[in-house]
Amino acid sequence: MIEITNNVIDSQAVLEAVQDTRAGAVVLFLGTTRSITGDRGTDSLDYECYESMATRQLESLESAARERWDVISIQITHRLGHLLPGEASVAIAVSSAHRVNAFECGQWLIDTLKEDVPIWKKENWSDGTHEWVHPGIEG
Amino acid sequence: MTIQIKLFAVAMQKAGTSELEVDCPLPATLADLEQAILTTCPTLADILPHCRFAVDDQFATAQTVITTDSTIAIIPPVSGGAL
Repeated sequence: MIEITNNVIDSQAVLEAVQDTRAGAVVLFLGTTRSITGDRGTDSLDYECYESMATRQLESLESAARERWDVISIQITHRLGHLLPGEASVAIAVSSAHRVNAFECGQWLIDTLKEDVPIWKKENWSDGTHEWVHPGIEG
Repeated sequence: MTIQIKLFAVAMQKAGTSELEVDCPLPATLADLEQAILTTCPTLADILPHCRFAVDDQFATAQTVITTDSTIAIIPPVSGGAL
């Protein structure tokens, strides 16, 4: 299942969404707001999304992952809006009969999400400046 | 023909709007559209080469043809994140 939300991510609910008695492994990844990048401090992040496309891309990621790995259930939840350090912006949970599939599938999902799903973050640096984060583009 | 283009993140910041209107004869390719965008909004020149286009909520390719019904967006590089 795919969810894009403005609410705080409930990691327990994400885990429960993939739990299944056939599963021998459940892997949960949380992407959390870092307060330090290199030598710069972050006060907060703002996430923005092209929602219709992001939903479609997340759905196609889920189907591609299911074709590639033998997994039981996948839950991807992405939060938008204003996040403080320590808060989770994304949660990915995967359940499978054996752990290798859940680990590999979860890693592939987060890596691919960060390339192909149109969700962007703005760093609100501690020095008062703001900057959209786009690999390859100077802020 | 006037085409609306959705802008996000740094593209929106540079253009100063979330929806850009450009004039471009249709049907058009992405190369035609890119030219029309730069004519209307030269402030996008330094970032546009790094961006992808979406047509109807999917990443477009050089072969994608833009018609009057197309929904178009500029997709700046996604946040990434070091492994």
